[in-house]
Amino acid sequence: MDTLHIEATESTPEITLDFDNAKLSIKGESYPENVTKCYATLFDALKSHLNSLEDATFTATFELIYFNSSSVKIIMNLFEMLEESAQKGNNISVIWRYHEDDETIEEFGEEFSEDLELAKFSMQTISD
Amino acid sequence: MNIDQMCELKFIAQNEGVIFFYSGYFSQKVLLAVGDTIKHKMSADDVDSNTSKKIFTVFVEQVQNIIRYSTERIEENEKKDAENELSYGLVVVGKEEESGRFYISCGNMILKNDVVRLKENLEEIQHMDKDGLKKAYKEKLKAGPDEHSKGAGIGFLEIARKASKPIRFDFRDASESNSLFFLHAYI
Repeated sequence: MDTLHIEATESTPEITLDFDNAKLSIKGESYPENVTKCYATLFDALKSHLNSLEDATFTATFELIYFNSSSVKIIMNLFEMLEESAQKGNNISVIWRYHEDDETIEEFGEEFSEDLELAKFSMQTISD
Repeated sequence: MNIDQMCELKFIAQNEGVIFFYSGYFSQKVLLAVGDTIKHKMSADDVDSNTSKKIFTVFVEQVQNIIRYSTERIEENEKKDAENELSYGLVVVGKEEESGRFYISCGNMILKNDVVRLKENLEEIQHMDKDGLKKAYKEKLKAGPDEHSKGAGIGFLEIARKASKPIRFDFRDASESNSLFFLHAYI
């Protein structure tokens, strides 16, 4: 299946859902006025992809610099989808990347990870 | 407007350590442009990156509140495409000379009927400590937004979490049906 690729804009992140390599990457900033519209394509594609997985491995990498409160809800929903897939027996990894000096994004990562039980969560710092 | 009034505005701005003051129609495009300007100004002034991010966060939440909830608005098309909404509001970003603290204030018109609900909600947030805010934030995220919200319903909590002091707010009657809503946060 062709990779789903959505280019970044000033207020939306770059999204890459690579089906062949079982990887999702969300990178950049997220504060569009309409988050639902912005993430609808990803949600549909990811949902059906995760549903089709059986005993499979899938990695989601988040590398966000800034996101608004509406996007927090979206990220939480993505984490829920990934955790659900892990509960079904898939090997799911979530990687949270942030700049080493960025306390805000680090804290968000810690808080989001509290909702993950079976999905493996790791934090990675990026230096300049 | 004449030069005396302009001088007065300039004088108030100077006294309050205003970095940025906007009174007019906001759209998502204005938010992006002004947000970008604030980021550059912070970086030019060597403001600590975490402080700068907090300022940006509170600014975005406040402006998106204006865009979504100001009752003074022009809806450009019938589809109510959020990208094209124009909403009137005021935003001030400044730095208090004495304390060296940054602040963001905003104002917009709301329905008088919404004052009580908003006041109760904000008073509750005002009295929460750091852990209380975190807990309320998580609970609200899980529970989902209430019927009045057009976002995740956690915007005020987000602002309060980024603020270094309890948020301040006030309401003032402006017409028969509308009140000016004022919100102030120190970073």
